[in-house]
Amino acid sequence: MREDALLNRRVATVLGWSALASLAVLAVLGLWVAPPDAVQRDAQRLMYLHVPAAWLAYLAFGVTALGSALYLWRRTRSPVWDRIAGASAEIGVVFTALTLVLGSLWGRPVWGIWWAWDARLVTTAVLFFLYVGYLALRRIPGPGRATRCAIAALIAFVDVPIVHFSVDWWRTLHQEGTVFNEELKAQIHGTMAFTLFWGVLAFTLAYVYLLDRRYRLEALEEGRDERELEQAIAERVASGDGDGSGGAGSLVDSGRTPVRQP
Amino acid sequence: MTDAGYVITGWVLTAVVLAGYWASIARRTRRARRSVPPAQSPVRPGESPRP
Repeated sequence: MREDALLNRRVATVLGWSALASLAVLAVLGLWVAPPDAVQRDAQRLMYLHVPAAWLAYLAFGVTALGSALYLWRRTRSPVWDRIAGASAEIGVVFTALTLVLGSLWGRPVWGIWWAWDARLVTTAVLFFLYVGYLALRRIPGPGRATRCAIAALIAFVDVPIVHFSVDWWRTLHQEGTVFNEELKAQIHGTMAFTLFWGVLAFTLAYVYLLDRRYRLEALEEGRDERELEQAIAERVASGDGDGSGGAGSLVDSGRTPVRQP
Repeated sequence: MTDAGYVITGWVLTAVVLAGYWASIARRTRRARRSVPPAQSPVRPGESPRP
């Protein structure tokens, strides 16, 4: 796997335009083509954003957990997995925030309230703050930063199934899964189902595109941090402040220590 | 606010958040690339995170 990018440049460009076109089609489908709900009427049109955003949050945090596990496993340890985990977590936080805000906007006309201390809402808010903490942890330099972050990501991921099954485990204001029943048979109008699945597809394309871009940024920032560290050590040694051993030890480590390639 | 008001707010907000996040990545990439000597840059010059 290349270390500076996940996708070929041309593939990334095509993917970006495909994601943009898919989101535009989603807007047409969700706002005009899909019929209004029999009970919730037009307010239900927020489902075409809220559900795909929640799916994306699950996917992004799943990729973060997978990347973290592969980083922790000695046979697959590579900085590539750490970068993927960090890049995906940031995207997941954006989509979790979007899920919460869209849910609140949907809840106001349907439930009559912006927020409730409901199991699904609270566990989702906890998920958001767990990964904000993970991103903050990534910014703390020092030896073993990537290992520390990988462990934190795996711990944070425990909340994902809790969020998903919260509507089954507790009595909640939030509705249970209504698209599929236990036989995985769709229970909503065909056009609504198609629009919803189109939304999931469009958001997934956007996620893959953003992940590649965010990964490239992560690679650039790592290079910059390593260069700044080397420059600081060189300046310290050149200034005659010791033989470099004591000076270097007092410098702030970038935390992005070289990792043995598999 | 009417139902349509909540729906439009949600869709506009989503568009703003996605565009804003993409712009934030683009801005940070430009800033990081400026600090990388051309020979060491993993991203080719002139490449921008544009779809």
